[in-house]
Amino acid sequence: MKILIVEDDYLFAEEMRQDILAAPEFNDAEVEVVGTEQEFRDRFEQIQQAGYDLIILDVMIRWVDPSPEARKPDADVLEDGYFRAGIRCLQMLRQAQATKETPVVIHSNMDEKDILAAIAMRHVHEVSKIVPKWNADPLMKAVRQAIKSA
Amino acid sequence: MFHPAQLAVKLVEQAAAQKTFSGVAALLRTLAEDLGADGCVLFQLTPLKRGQRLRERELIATAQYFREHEKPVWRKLTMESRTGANVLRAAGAAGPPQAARVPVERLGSRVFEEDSRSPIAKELGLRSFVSLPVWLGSELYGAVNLCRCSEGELMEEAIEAFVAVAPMIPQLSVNIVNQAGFDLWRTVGELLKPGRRDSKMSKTLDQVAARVAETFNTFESSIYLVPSNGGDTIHLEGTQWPFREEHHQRSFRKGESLTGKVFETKEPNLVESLKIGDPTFDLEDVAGEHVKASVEGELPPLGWLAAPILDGVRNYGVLRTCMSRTGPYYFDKRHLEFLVLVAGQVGDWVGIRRREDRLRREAQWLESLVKGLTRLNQQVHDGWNMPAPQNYQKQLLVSAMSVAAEAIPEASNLSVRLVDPTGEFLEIAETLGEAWHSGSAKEIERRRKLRFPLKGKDTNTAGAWVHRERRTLWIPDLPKSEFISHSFPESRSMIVAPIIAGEEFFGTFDLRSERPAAFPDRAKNVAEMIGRQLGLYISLGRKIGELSAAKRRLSSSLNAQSMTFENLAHQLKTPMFLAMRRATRLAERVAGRPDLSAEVSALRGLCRRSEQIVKNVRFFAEIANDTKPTIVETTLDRELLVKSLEEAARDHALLLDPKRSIVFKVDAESFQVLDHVVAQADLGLLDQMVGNLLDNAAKYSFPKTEVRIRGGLARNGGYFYIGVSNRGVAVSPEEARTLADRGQRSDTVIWRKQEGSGIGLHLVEEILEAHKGHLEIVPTNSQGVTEFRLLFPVAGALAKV
Repeated sequence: MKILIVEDDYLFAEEMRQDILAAPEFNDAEVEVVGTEQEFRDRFEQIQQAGYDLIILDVMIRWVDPSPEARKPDADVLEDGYFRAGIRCLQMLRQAQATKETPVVIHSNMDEKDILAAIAMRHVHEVSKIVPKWNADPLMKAVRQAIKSA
Repeated sequence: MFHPAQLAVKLVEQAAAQKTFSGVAALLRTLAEDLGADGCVLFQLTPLKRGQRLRERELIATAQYFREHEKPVWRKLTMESRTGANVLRAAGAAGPPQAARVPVERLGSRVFEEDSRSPIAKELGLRSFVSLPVWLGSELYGAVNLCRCSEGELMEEAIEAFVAVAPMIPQLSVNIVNQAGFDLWRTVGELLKPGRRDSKMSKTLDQVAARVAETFNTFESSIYLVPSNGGDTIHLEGTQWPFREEHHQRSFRKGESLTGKVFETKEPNLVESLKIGDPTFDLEDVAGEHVKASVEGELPPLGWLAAPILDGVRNYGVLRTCMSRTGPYYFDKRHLEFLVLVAGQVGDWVGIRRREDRLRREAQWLESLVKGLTRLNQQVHDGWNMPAPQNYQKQLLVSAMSVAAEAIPEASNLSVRLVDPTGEFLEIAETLGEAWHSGSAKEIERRRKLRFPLKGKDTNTAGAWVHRERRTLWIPDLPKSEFISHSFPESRSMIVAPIIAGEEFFGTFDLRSERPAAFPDRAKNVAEMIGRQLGLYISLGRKIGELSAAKRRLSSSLNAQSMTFENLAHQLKTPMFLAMRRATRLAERVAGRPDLSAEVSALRGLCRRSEQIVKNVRFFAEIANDTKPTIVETTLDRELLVKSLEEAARDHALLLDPKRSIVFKVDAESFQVLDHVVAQADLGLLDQMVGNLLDNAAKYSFPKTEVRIRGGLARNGGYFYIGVSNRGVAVSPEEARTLADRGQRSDTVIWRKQEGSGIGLHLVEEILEAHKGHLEIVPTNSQGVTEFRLLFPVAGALAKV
């Protein structure tokens, strides 16, 4: 079982990883974390090949952590802004043959209707579940459902 | 005794001194007196008309002198008279150079008394005379008669001298006319010099007329001018006429009487003889009576001359002169030529004056219009600054109409009609002008309440047309137009301009006059401009009204939001504070259990982060509502401050991804400065400010770097500071100046755009301001270090220092 978490808040990402691993059915799962949109894009080829069973996506993801080697954001990122980063990642996943069927759980503080509107604008509709961040239980429930239905 | 050469010299000298056309009489007097005669007359042949024979012409006395007869004694002789017969004989003889041999008619008293064809002889008591036909060049001019009324005959020597010098008289007469004519031209030129243009126009023209009358020796000389705005009637503008008061309103229409004909044809005219009562004569009988009274006897036929006053092809009027006082009673073409010359001078002068007056009026008009519009704009500006701008609309409309009324005096009434709320009708909003307020109270009320349909049936009105076309309608003759005004039947001409802003139509601006074709061209432009100005004012006024309402709603909403934020933050503050305390206590209890210790530390970090956010929200709510934050200052204690800073640093470190390896370090030694100076701060707000700076430092530091917290003195020891420095995203000097502005984040550094509300540094600055302190951002140095300093004013030095 391979699960990818795309989340820029280290504490949250760590919390989710612990929750997943604590569940009996996932205690042998491989859980990986991608912390920024730049890292997602840089590793996207690897992500396609990895064959994840589930991807958990935050929506508001920073482009990069500061570092002297940091790259300038891509043009679409500059134009679209920080608030749509997760939706851009989702679009990339759905456009790639290897990941277009991969279950995705959107895990965000944003209102569901705002997320749906952003997804509709991108013409990407296949999402397993949208789960609010402020409650951990629905996330695990959604993770189980997503894996089951895959 | 009678020396012809001396007499000739005397005559030439006398002629040279003459300034008027009547100056020839002086020569005749010299002749008569020097030759022992009582009188002398210069006769001129009337011009030969087409088909006329010499015998049918007449001899007119153009100048005469009679001792004992001061009043004019005019005579016109036929060719059948003695003098006429003598002239005919001269015509029968060969002309010059044989002129000296022309017959001289000498008649003694005996023969003369029997001559019934000479009533003049009886009237003057003439006893004898000598008549000499005279030539001018090769033309037979007429005759010069030397007369004696007293006893005794003219002496032979005198007659010989007369025969010798009399032929000079026609030429000297012509010389006098030329000389007087040019003198007239010169003196009129002086009167009309540019430097004299400031004088009143009619006064100058009076002086010109007087000079003409003096030269021509006439009773009347007048200048008639067409009004500045043109027309078919000329009015008396300048005259020497002594009965001016009785004639001051005299005027002639084109073609009316002799003067009107000159005005119409623009051709000079000379009439040899007129009689009072002649229907073509321009002067009223009363004037004739005055002339009769002044000459006390038979009036000679009146010479009448008029010349058009032209400036190029522009026809300004007529200069005329008539009725000789003592001769010449007969004027010829030469006289008329000088009158034409003077009329030309007057024409040039009037043209310049009119152009200058027009330019001056235009300038005054423009100045007045600009002042009016400036006043109006000022009023609009003042009005918009009033709490309720819509209340001054009435005053604004009246002012706009006043400006228009000054600029277009031809408008006897003005009105503003505005579209009613249904958009179906125009309603009279304001009016200005007498006609609107005349009539019975009922009628005035009826007019005030008039409504003019814009849509549906019965929309063939000027207002509906302007509404439809969005253009200005100018109706010079209202009763004859398709837009007959039933509401205001006294109107004869009208201008209706749209009050518009862009495509939006608000109503019409109307000008009316009881006269047809009352408005000059500029009236349309002014009406259009006022219409557009009003459109702009109304449009802006409405938008400002809407903005004011929106501002009130927004302000109310902001206030409510601020209250809500503050309440929420306040409610959250207590549980967050308690959670923080318990997490701190828990961390102490599980110090020996690594498995729990990490969880509890993370919990504590989260609590601090939440507490930080709650504090920020609460403070933001306060300053967003323009409320000054309340601070409770405490003297900073070094040990407590360092401990608090170390806790904050530890908590922030817990929130970071360990992979980034960012270390928080408090330089405790640097705070020893607090052992020497006193600085004060609100500890809760200080904690909040430090938290914000650490948040930023954590967010923008590069991996494997150190965030350092230190204390020190700045600005010559006037301030104690707490500095948070890091190595990471660079801050340029330019950015350092604006980074704390609300909502501002670095534009050059891309990742600063990624997240955050951008209010953290702004809040820090606000809090420091309440402490009378400053936020100082030290731009990134060559080692890549940026420092944010919280500056607190040093309250004093400690005694131990």
